[in-house]
Amino acid sequence: MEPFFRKLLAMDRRWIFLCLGVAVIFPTFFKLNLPGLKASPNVQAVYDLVENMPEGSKVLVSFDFDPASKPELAPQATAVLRHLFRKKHKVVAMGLWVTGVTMAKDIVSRTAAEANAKYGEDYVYLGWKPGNFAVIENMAADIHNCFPKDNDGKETASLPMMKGIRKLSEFDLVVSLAAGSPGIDTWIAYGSDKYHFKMTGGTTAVNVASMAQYVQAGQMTGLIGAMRGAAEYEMLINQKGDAAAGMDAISLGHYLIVALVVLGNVAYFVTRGSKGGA
Amino acid sequence: MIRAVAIVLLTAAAASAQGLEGFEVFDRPGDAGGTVIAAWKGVPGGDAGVEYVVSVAPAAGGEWAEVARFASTLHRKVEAPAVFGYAESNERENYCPVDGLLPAKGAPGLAKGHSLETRVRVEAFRGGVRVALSEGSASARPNWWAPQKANVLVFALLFGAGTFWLIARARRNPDVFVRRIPGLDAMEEAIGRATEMGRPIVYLNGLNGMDSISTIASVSILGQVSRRVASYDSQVLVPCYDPVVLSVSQEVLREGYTAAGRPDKFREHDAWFITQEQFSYVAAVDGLMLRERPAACFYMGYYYAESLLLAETGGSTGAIQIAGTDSVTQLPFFIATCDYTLIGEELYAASAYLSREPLQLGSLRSQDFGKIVIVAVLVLGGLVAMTGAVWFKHLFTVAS
Amino acid sequence: MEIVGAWIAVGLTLFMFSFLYKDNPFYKVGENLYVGITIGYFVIQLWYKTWIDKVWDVLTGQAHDRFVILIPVLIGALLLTRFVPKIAWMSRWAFAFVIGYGAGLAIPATLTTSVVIQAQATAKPLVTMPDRSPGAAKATENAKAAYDKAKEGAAKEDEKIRAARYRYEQSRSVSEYTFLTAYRDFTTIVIFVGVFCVLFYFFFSIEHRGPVRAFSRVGILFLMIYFGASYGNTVMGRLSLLYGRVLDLKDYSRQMYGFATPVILVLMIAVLAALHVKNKGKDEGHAA
Repeated sequence: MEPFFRKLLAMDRRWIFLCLGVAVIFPTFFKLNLPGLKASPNVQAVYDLVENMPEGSKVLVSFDFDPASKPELAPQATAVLRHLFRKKHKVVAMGLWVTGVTMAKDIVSRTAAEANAKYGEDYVYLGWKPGNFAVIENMAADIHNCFPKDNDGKETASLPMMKGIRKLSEFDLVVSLAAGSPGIDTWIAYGSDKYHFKMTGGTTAVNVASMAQYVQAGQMTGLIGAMRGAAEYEMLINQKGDAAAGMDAISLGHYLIVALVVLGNVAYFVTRGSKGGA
Repeated sequence: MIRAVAIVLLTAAAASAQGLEGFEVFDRPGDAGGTVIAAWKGVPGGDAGVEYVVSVAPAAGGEWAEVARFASTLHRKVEAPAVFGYAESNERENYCPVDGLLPAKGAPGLAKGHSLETRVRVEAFRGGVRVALSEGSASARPNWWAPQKANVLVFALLFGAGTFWLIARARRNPDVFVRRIPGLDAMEEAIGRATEMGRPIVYLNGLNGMDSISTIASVSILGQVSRRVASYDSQVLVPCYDPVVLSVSQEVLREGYTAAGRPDKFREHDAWFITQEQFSYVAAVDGLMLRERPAACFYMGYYYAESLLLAETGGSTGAIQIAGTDSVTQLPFFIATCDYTLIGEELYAASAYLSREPLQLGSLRSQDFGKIVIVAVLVLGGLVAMTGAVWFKHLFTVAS
Repeated sequence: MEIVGAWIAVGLTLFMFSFLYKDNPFYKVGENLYVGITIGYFVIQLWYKTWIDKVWDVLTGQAHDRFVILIPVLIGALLLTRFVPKIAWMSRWAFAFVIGYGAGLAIPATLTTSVVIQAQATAKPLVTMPDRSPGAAKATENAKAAYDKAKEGAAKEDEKIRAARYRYEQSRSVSEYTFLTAYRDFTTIVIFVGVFCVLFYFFFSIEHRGPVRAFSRVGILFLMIYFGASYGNTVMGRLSLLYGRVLDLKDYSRQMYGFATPVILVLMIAVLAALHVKNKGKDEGHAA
């Protein structure tokens, strides 16, 4: 066995890339429908929050990510927006990441069109402003001053929906979909902890562990984690999308990686004894 | 006749209605202005099935305008602990925040956060009949003092004062105890090994600039490493990602060699700039490792996705690898590939330990002091919470 | 236009993926374009969203206090003095302003969010006493009724029943000491022990001997579990990103996009193979 494991440890890593590529590509052609998807308490909490708010509640959705995290966060954004529009909430969308402006606009207008939501009355897209946490501080004082114009250059004050929204604290819910900082932590530190509005959000897999502390401490309600979280949300709103379709690929990739980790460890322990003598 | 008079009197009494219990109107404390609050304890005869209607008018005279209408079960004082505290009675008593009235257009304006003297009227209706009515007035103004955030101020002052005091103490007596960090012993070993093998050491400062604490710590450790390297007559190679970090590294190397009494051995080109392109930098450093086959690789400072690429290549050359970073997302990769890893704060501690600089030693002590406070809060808080008491929790609540 | 977009997207994705084979000219082109485009995009956004919206429009507007905006503009402009060595010292004023403003905002916010509130949330009772109030009992009753109703309404176990059962179990865990309450207490204890021991691991002012050593050993165990979870999550994240790109590549393989993916892939492989052959010849030449 030892020579095999020795070979395995010395294997060119490009073979692993290839195997992983195949594992991810294969399910995009052949549906496997692997079992095991059910809503986790954190995703359920976000869903319940949106579901139980009275119709017409004011919700701010902040797109704090860029195309680099699109596969994880765009399905979350789509699912949450679909739910918000379905419940006829008033949605104000914006972003703290400059490279996400156009992508966010696409997602918002696509989901709004699906629900026949009218621009200016049911939803608004304010776009991006520089300043990270300073933007949040500014919005807490006066949104119209922070965003004098929306993303398309229309006067914010002239939009019917924005007439009733001047300050951050007037929102019934703020949702930050974040790939890093500025993101959920910024919104909590400079927004919800200071101005006391309800906060929830979603993040990428890399950040789930570090954002979980805010859920545990009650600083935010629920958290959608990565593509899996998006798939769970899609399941809850009964409208499957990109994330649910991707679960097979992700699961297959995970099986491969777990197998490689186990194999690697076995190989390490088998070959360790004779290493010194070599 | 008497009966008729009695009926008229009773109706009049109902129309004039009684006042709400404990009614008051005041500026909302601890805010940036703009809001006045009407608060009351209840309605004579209990508030079951009561609906409140809140109206405002300028004190100088004018029409009443209705601003809120709600059932008595809503707008309880318990929702605003910043204003009313945590008394048990808050669950039964009501309040209503109202925007202070502003001058009409064209009239002289007021300073930001200030409002006109605003009259607030609260009427209580039971089954459509008005059973109580109270009025009061107040003007909104911004406040300098936010009592609900006093606990944060106390913490800031406590930590701030502690830090300054501990730095001053370390200045007077730099002989501050800092525990030995295992990774540091390994560094010494690695330098010795490099000398024995006649191979260089590769030292990386991470990808952040000099404004990052981890880079400062890394450069500080480099200073100590260069002293040992100089005294052992070995060689340290420092490929840099940032031009400013490069100049600092060169200076630090020069000082290290001088301090070890070997200024002649210092070679300026042992630290050089590569590129500010993340993966191009990785490619260049990987190439360097494969060519030079260093005896030891030190990865200190802040890293991003390149961490694994660097440490894997270093590992494949058989070098002893020691990493130190506060980049939480990259730590797992370093732990998996390096012989020793300084985790998070250990990097700063290592820097303080090696440099013995009072500023770093004092800050390290103050961080320990902060940790002791937090441990005490956790233990005390857990014990107090077990008794069912909530006062301790409220000490750490930043109320809304 | 859409076809051009598809070809660019596919081309750049494959250029970046080619790094998995090895560093090559395609990757370099992709990387430099990425850096350049990001900076260009940022500059344009900054121009319209800051200079035009917040400065130009204000100055050319009608507000009586419009010239106040010149104060922050001046402070910002001081940063540019760094390019002129003689007056570079003036940029320090701007930095002083930025750092002072940043620290003033950040210190209380971080202290509130990461210390005060987190400490409060961790200092929980380690064993929860059931809430015996009539309100809690009523909430459980209502949740049970909703769950029973959901069960009647549907023939088989569906998402609605599951959600109703979830809510019922949540309510019951408050009014009674159930398995879920015990589970929650267990997690509270784990978090408490974890925070306590990890803090001990990071004590530098005392020697790690005796009980402190024991606590810090447990602390490092917690840290390793956290790093393991973080590692796993990172793998999941990267796989999601790969899947996202694969999905786009598959989408752009269609005829309506001019078979962008297969065409570019084949062309790239051909060029890389040619380069490989060419460089191999060179290496051999050197060796000889």
